Amino acid sequence: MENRVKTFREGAGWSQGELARRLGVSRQTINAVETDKYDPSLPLALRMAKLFAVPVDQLFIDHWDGEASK
Amino acid sequence: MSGVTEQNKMRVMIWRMLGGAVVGAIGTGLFIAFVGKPHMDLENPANMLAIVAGVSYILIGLMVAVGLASPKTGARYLNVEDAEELKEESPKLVPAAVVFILTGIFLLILAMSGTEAAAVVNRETTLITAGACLGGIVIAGWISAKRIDELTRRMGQETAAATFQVTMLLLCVWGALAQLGYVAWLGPLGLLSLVALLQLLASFVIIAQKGMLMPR
Repeated sequence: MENRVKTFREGAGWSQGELARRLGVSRQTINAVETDKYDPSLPLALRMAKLFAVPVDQLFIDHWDGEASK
Repeated sequence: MSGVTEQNKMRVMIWRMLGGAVVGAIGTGLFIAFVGKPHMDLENPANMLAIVAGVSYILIGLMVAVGLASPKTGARYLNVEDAEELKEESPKLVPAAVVFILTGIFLLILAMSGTEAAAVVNRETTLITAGACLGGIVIAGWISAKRIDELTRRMGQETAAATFQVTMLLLCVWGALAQLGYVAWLGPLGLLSLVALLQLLASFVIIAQKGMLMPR
């Protein structure tokens, strides 16, 4: 799933380590999320959205088209 | 990211993997030369499996331990961004390294033991050592499980699932052939070593599938 975590993190002026510390996860986890190697759990995604004060769907972009799948 | 950077990362990854393979081969060779050949039945495939698995686990554990003891050096061969990250990760890496080293000792001590007079280690010493290793593995594993975050937990779950599936498939095929008398059934040591090796292999495959062998 595509995400804009890096954009928001850099906008906040935080390093990966700083964001990891605030979220209580490892730097490796933040790096894996930012490089699309790992989709975070729902609780972590919600915490990220809360931290950046944006809706989850602005942070994580799902290209699934509900209409097309009908 | 530029193509040149990607190429450099690929080069570093290949060198690291080659380095790991060379260290593993040298370690196994030395163990076979100094302990295996003089004291062990190397014609027994279970012993060979146990040596390969045991030495691999010990070397991986030692490489992590050395990296933690000297983070600047460790950051050059462990997949972290810098020495600081290695220090941050040490609470979960220390018990993981302990689990690896104890698993290796557990397999090697069993391979070196036996009821025969030529056994390197007698049965009673093996029982105590193997029991202590298992106790240590359970405690260190429990501590590690408490400290890891969701990414490592997910990787562990995927590794466990893959190991189980491959082990089941292999055992079903081997078991069926053994039942029909085509092959000899695995002894206890062979089975333990096989599962340990498959778990190691599965973890590398899962890490590689997620693109996490690539340097950051």
